[in-house]
Amino acid sequence: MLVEDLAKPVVLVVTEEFARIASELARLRKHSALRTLVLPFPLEGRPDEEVRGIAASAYPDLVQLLGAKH
Amino acid sequence: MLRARTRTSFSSSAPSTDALLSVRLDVPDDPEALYALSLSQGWGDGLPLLPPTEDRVRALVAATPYAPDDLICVLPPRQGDATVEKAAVNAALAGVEPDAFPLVIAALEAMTMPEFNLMALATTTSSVFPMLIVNGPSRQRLGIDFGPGCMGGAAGRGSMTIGRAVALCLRNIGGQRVGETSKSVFGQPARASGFCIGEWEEESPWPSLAEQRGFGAADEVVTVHGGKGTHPVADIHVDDGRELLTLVAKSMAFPLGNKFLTPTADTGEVVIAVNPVWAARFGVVFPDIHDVQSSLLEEAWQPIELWPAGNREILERQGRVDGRGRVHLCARADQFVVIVCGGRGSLHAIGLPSWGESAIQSVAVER
Repeated sequence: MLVEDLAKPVVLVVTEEFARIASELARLRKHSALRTLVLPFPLEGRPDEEVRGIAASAYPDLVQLLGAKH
Repeated sequence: MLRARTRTSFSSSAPSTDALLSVRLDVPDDPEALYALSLSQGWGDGLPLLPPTEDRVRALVAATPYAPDDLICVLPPRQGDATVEKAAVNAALAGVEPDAFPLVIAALEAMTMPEFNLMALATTTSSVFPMLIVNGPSRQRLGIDFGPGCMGGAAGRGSMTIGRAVALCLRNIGGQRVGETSKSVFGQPARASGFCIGEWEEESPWPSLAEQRGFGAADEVVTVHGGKGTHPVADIHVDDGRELLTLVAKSMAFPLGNKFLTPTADTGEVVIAVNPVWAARFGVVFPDIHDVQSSLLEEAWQPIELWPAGNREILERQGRVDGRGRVHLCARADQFVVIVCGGRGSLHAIGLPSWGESAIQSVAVER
């Protein structure tokens, strides 16, 4: 099943290094308007606390991209 | 079976090859001209190409039971329609003989079966690429290498051109481009030259791979495996087949292999190419291929203590650690795919490690 078949709001969460391929693949699949949230790269190798901080910082933007009010 | 066949394809007479739809380009009659054009246009793999003239493309299409506009499959990541004609153009670029073109079609069909997971293979950070293994009576005739140097150096036309044609199809029809639609960190040589070998069936003490997968001995079959590369192993000391197979199993279970990264052990196969001398030695101890596979399953593991705490936690959470503290490479014996090929120089075997989340596929060639 494709994610679009679920009729749910979708946000692509991707790190900076993968932003270009994500955009290109979305375009090739005719999803140029795909909402995307870009996180710093790399996430691996960072202390857990730092990763949690990145997630907390990104959360409001994620909620907004999903169309909800924070 | 092709994804879609057109009405012309089913007509009582042979399909017409007159109606080629591809754009025609005039290129100077100079071997360097097409090469330069392919590089500037991004069609090529960096190697020189042969001109896909109308006559050559027609000859390739005519070697199949299909019409030019029959759809073989849809190739990711661009979701490009791989018609028989487009595949023939890429086969012509690679130098495929008409007699060998049906194997290219079979390979494309096999690698686009959903269980093969080609979209993920084409875009991943891994080096994985569709590796082709050919069984059947046309191996010698087509120049499919299965003897010495079969994985590079033997230079059989069939092996080199079929594999390269498949790679060109992925690039030119599927749109696989490093840095754009593929995040492959290193790639591997097969991404340019392709990877296409035969099994040396006549030297195997067991049924051929195709027979193991339900085909007849006389069938031409192309099997495709999502292989990360070639992982060579060697030994000159062990004479006992059972002990030698245990060492092979341990060598396949290297701790940073993708098979230890997947959430479960029951996806993906490890192909193990055994030379005829070792195969004979294994065959004495294990006359039944299922016993070879069971032994590999039993011995291909590493102790959980091998990994650092972070990895251990994940493997334990995934249920990958058995009651004896062993992390097995695979969950089932049939995930060890043993084929016989290579030279008689003994000493060596080669593993084709699995990418993990891809299942091996086989398709019979149609002529």
